Amino acid sequence: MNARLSSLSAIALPAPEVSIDPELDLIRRWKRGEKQAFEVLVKRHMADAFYVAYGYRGNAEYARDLSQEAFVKAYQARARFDETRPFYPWLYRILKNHCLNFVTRGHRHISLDDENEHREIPSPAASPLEDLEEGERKRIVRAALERLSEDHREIIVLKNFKEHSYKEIADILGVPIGTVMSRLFYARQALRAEIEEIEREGLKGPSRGVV
Amino acid sequence: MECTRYQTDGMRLLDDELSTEERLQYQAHVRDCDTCQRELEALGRVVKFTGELRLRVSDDAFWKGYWESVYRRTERRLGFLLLTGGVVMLLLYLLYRALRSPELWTYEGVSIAVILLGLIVLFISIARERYHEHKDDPYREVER
Repeated sequence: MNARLSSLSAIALPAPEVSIDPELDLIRRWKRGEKQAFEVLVKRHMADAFYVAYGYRGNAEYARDLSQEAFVKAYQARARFDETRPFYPWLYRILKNHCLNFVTRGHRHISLDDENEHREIPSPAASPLEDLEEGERKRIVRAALERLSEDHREIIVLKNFKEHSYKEIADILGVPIGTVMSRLFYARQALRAEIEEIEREGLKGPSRGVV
Repeated sequence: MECTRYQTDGMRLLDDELSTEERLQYQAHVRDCDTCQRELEALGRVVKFTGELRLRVSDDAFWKGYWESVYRRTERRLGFLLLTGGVVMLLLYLLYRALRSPELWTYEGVSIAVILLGLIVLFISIARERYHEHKDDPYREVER
């Protein structure tokens, strides 16, 4: 018996591997209030948050403020965050609420203000006439976006402003990919109808049709 | 109907979400279907013009300052909460002292007490408003 036990103890068993999910570790450190972890999370998701807020508001300054406030709110609510879930979909819901509340509180009119342009990557070789037409087209499309339902606008913001894939959008919204495709399809159909409606209402003036 | 089968394929083609086989099938269908061809062109324009609204920030300084701004906002929020809490505590204490000190029941003392009471009511009112705004927020628990 003793011989058997000592032979067993001589067998070197490999140490169990303990893998630490780096994202989970980061989230846990952030929940404990670590500044560095918070910084990593912000830098990792700031572009996503900013472009989504821009999709909702159409103004870079508002988008920056709204997205930054969303991070602050997320920090304050971090105790309620379920660390087993991905971080960005949760942040997105906070951001979306914040953007929608901003609209509700009377900041409905959004603009493609000129100060955005100094940050835009300029179109290659655009003539002044093309610039003018593009500017007018942008106003019409932005106005049409404003008229869409919340669900339709949301899916277009996620797809067109942040260029998420269908899978990423499905993960963010917590819906199947089929739902994303269907919703996006009908959202774009609705957008097209709104653009045509705006043109019929004569908002575009004497220039030719957009679509 | 054949076109119904390809209803979302045009959109998926434009979004580069079709597999090679699906793309070939769809393109073969569109070659022979004027309706789907027109739909694809119209959808393509919508996607293109929506894409024109996209903003891409090329300014490094913008992103460099982003985190600092978030951090300052977080600090300020915490500071404001502490300040508000401290002010309310101080006002309550001063009111308590005023009520417990008969020698303060002069005209000036009563005026100061009324001001303190007013400030406390204001702070409580603002806090209650913020609480109800949060509680009644229709988007507070936006479900996935």
